[in-house]
Amino acid sequence: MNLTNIYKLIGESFRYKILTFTIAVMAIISVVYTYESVKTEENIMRAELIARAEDMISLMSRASELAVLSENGEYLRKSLNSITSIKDVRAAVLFDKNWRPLIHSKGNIPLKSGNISANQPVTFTDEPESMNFYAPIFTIIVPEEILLNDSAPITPVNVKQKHIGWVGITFSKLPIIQAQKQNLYHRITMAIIFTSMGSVLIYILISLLTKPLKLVTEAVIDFHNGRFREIRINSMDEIGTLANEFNLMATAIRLRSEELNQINLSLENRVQEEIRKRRLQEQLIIQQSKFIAMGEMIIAIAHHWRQPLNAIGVMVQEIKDAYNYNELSEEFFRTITRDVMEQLRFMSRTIDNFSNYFKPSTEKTQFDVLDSVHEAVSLLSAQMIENGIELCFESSIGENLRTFGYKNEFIQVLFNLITNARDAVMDAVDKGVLQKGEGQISLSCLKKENTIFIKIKDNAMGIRQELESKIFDPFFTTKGLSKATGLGLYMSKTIIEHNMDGKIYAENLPKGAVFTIELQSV
Amino acid sequence: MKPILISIIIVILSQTELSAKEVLVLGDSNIVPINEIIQKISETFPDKVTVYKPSGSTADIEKLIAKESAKVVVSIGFDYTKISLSIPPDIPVVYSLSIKPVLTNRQNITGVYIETPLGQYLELIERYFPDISKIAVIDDSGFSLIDVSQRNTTQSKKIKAADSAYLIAALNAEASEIQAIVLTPNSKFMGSATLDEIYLFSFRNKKPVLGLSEKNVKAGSLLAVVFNLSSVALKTSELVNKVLQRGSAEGIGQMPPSSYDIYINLITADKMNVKIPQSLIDVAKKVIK
Repeated sequence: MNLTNIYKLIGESFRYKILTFTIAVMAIISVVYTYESVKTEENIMRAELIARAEDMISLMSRASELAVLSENGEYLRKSLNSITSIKDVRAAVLFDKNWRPLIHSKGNIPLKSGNISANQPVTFTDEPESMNFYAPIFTIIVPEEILLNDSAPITPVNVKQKHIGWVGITFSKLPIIQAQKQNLYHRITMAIIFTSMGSVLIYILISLLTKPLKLVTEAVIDFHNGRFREIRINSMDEIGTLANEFNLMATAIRLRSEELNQINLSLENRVQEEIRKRRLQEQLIIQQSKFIAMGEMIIAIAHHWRQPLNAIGVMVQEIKDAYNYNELSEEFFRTITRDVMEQLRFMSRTIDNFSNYFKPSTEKTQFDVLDSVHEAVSLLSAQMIENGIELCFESSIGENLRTFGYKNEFIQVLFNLITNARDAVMDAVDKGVLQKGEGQISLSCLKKENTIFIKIKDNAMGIRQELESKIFDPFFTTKGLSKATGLGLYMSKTIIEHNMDGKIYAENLPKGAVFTIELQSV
Repeated sequence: MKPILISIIIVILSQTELSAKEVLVLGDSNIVPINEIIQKISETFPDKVTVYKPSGSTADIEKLIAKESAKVVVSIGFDYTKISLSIPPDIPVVYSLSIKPVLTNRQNITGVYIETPLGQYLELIERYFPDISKIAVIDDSGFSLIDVSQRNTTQSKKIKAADSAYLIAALNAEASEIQAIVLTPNSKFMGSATLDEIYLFSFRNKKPVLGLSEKNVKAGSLLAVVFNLSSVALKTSELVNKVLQRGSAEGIGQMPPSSYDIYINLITADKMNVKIPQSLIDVAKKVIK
């Protein structure tokens, strides 16, 4: 569990963090203190028991002199009884100096264990539930030189001792173990009470201490949300200073903010004005682009009209020749009139077609992409032939290539892309990259899954790499603003991607470039 | 026929006499040795004995004497003997089981004390332990150093001791001369703590103690010459009979028992490196091994 998870568990507030930390520290202190005090108590009790036992056994060693010296049953019993009557003595035994037991109590008596020297006043061995103490028993050899008088006690001098036996006592550790348990329960209880009460007090203290901090925090949050309010903290400590400084800062920021709002307001007005001007300019440019488009249309119409006009001219020459040679007949007039009218209807239809295609669609409809491509190609085919550019089109026959969108706008996009390709080819011819008549523009339509791919490919010089990312930007053109507005590809992208939810992108080929339009099939 | 009638009359008269409780015994029959003496007196004087456990006042005793027409008061034990000394001197008193001879100005008193006469010990030591020539006899004031062969207690060395500590110190001081210690009945140095100290001295210095009782022997005395309780009871009954016959205790005197028992502790003998002659062991009433 990392720190973030802990914070999630306990809450993110400063109060809970410090509370958790403090309680944890208190708990650790309680545990350590409890452990140490229990260990200390245990050592003290053990030392006390050993000291008491040593005192007792020393005393019993002296008191047992007569019993061991006389080996008298009465004295031996008396000594043993006086030893076993001592509290916590579990067993006792009196030995002669060769460790032969003279008398012992019931139970597990403390037999000789290891090397025990009579020079050692008390020796003890530690067992899991008991402690065995051994002490030598001495008798006194009274020297003959004794001072004696009637008024003072007799003081023996040069008293010698003789080792006559041993006393062994087993002290039970049970009282220590029980006391340890009680002590442990007591300490744990105290630790729990201390931690609990300490936690409550710390909670109250931290609540009191963090209350001003909370006020500051709430005021900051309110300030962040745009609601300024003054913090009222009377204390003169760090938090009081912080609150006062915050009030000063917030007031300053509020004043600056109001100034900034004023500035922003005027700036907004200026921006609106600039936008308006920009829009106006754009409209002008768009208007200009419309004019260019119209020019393109007129050129296309002109190309379309060239042949019928020639045909009408020839027909007029035929009428003149027929009149000169007196070959005018009713049948001739009927035929020639029909042919002229047919040419005139074609010309009229051409105008209708162009005017239709450049009329904006008012609503989205389902239309056949293939038809639209055909129509675009037919509008520009005459022009391409005249410029010596081969315009070819290929598609899968019988495939459903219907899509949903603005048909006329889509034709306009195709128109833009084909005329751009034409300009590129013408430029390549002008630069000698291509010979006249080598220019090729090919269109293809195919469908993969639910996507219709329309590709317009040319064999001109392709798009310069550094310009690839800019060609769809508004007002970007390589032809010069006198010849183009730089809005053709921008508007094409807008129509395909914004109005018809499709995609348009350009790629370079080994020879030339290809523009791909992706539309959703319906 | 005539002798028969005389006999009947004698019997009736004697019955009349026997119905009077001539012997008033003061004692606690719950105490075994006292009870044994009471039994002996009761057997000796059937229907003539009244046993009374006095509360401490002699008035009750005097009333009882008047009521029963008692001719002799028998006090058994030190406490009751002390009470009996307050009884008017016209009533003869026979005491028994007193530790020592009773020292009193009261007339008309006799009895049996149980203190083993020093002479008995000296005789025994001389006979069975010829190596012991000097003994310390502990009494109320301290102890006396007595030469066994001379048996002259008056010429003995007297050492006074104010308390137990002085007594032990004095024994230590004379340890080189003392070859054995003889205990005598006294209340001052016969407490268990003092006795323990005496025994400690005894074992440290290998100076055997000759005790007063079987208890002493069990506690570590080498041996003890102890009064024979049956002998004391018999002697007490004899004294009662003698007083009844005389009507007075005057001139009879106080006397020790006539028979003693010997108790021997062979463990102590072993510790003291003292050899007990087999002939003494053979006559001992009890031998602790």
